[in-house]
Amino acid sequence: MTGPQHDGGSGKGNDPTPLQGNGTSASASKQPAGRTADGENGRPIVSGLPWAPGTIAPMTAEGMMAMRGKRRSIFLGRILPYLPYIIQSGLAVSVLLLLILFSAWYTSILQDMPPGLPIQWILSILIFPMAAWSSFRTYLQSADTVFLLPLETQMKAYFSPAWRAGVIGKLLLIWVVLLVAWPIYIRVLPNDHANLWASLLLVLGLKLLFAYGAWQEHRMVSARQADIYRLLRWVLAAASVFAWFWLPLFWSVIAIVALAALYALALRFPPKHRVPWERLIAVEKAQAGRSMRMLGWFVDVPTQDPRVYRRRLLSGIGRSIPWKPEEAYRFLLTRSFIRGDMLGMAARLAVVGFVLQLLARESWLGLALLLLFTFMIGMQLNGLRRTHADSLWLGLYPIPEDSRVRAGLHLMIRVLLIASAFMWLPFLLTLPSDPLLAVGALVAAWVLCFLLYNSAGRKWRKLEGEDE
Amino acid sequence: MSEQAILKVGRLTGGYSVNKPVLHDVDFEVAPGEMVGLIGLNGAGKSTTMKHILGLMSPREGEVRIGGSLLKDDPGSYRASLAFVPESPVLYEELTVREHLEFTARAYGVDHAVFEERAERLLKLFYMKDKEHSLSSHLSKGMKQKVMIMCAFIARPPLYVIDEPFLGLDPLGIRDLLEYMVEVNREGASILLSSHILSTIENYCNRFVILHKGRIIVQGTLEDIRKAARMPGASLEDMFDRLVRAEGAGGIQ
Repeated sequence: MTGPQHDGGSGKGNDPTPLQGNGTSASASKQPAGRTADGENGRPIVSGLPWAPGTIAPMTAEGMMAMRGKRRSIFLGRILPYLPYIIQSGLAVSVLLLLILFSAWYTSILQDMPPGLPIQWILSILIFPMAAWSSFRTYLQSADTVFLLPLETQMKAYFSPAWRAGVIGKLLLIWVVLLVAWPIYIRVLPNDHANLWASLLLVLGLKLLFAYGAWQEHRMVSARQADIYRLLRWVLAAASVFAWFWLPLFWSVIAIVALAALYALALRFPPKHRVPWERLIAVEKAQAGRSMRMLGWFVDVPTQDPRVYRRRLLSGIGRSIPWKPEEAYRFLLTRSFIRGDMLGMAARLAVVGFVLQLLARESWLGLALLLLFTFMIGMQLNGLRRTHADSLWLGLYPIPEDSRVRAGLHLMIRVLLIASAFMWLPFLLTLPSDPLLAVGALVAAWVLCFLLYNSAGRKWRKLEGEDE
Repeated sequence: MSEQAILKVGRLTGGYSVNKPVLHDVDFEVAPGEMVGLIGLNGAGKSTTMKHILGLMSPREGEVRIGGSLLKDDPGSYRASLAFVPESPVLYEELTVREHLEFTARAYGVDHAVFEERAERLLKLFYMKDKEHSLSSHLSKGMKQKVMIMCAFIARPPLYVIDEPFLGLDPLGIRDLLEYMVEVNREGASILLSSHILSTIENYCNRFVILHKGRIIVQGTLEDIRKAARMPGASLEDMFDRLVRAEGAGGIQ
């Protein structure tokens, strides 16, 4: 997984920015590339770069690529140490379980194909988002607008691995999905024109085209135009994939070629930056943050800058919090919660839970799902403990010491009760026919909420004690 | 000093590592209603001194007292007696300008009605009224600095610790800040202020503490410093130049 320049995450203070050094390290030139002796203890430092530390970096294409590789390995070095914890957290078991379930379902469906399976719909809906979805890890940093800006004309070498990695990973994924779905497809539609090789080739073409389009979107001067082109990319991806699986061969080829040509032409019109520094840095920051937040679902990771959503509709929440120092942090936490990621995650889970209850409300499976989703939301809300954990102002303001834990728990139980009540609503339809199940489900969910609240309280207080 | 000092930094020695203290025997006081300028070159120890006062660092030797008490004796009243304006703004991205003021007022126990009145005045004074509902991530650097300053003044504690407040402020902002500092000063609050704009703070501070390489080389009123530098009638900037170069500041002699 790690790049060829991986230095084991030690970093050793070797700034990845290449325009450093004073050119005084004559002895360093005798060292193998990228190695030099540490002046103090004689241990070799592996910088991971193809030039010796202390020399003025040659900004060749090779140097540029090496620098991106170095930054990538530093990023991986931050992530990889958490991997064992994630595996321990039950993810590995869950994934394995899902895989076994999926295999069983897959084998059964191949052996006993349900008549009228809408495979054309399923395949189109599976494939088109993956064809449209494009992202690039550039590992650009704010300082690059100072140090790399003068090299703007040579940045192609830096970006090409980002581009390749962005395309290849997603292409492999889409190919795997296609290969797995194909046996079902040919069983349902044995005489269709969409043959496997042609389909694999088509998604390769679409992937390249839309990745190119996504890169051009980043380069566009106007953010509004970029938004319009993003929408266009998704619409065209859907149109091309649907055309392939629904139209006769001749017309589908004509349609796809015409759409692709028009799209490529349309991309030429908007004014663009040569290198969209600020946008790329913002995108990179968001992606790195997302990776860390995803890790945060399983293990405690240092919090990154949170993503903030305005959510004006919710701006009234928290106004009624009592106006006293003991409750000041509750005000801050509530505002942070309604504008942060965690609310989005909890709300998504609650909506999915609600929809599942609509389907399963008449059996004990509904109750099990209600408890499962309440539990999952509770797990997400455990992140409230880490919110503002490193805040300067919480250290300086005259706020009682335990107010962080108290406010976190206070918010947690409220959100849990509301979310579980919301997910329970479909049971109202069950109330007349099976009141025991309907009422029992709500009671069980709320009991679970309080159990989660108590367990979080114990865990948080223990962790706070350890932190001090 | 006849009155009891609001801030007393007593023979403070400390720094980031135990073996290499940044500050050596730093000893000064700020009396109620006094504005004291803490000046020195980059790396002289101004911010480190402030961090010790804030309780973000613990002294290796010596002590810091606010209103006569140590942080560990009475953290609540120590913290409530102090407001800090950092050199670079530290804001919550999820809060609007007004919510920052509100959070601060709630934390310091400012009465709700008083908060409304102060917030209104500060927002107008610093030309931030039209930004009061903007999220902090949408503000320019100068505006973020203004939020920090407003937060300190919404609390109205007896002591302000202000680190390089003029960085990034527009000329009107600088003038309004100085006038506001004079006002709270007149009402009895004390200010410890670090700045490199010596020509400005010369006219506002009652006393100065000149730090160099972690030691106080001279402290006192402008007249005291003129005597120490043997430069009658000289400006603070000229005296600072002479005193610091005499101690070996490097650069062009």
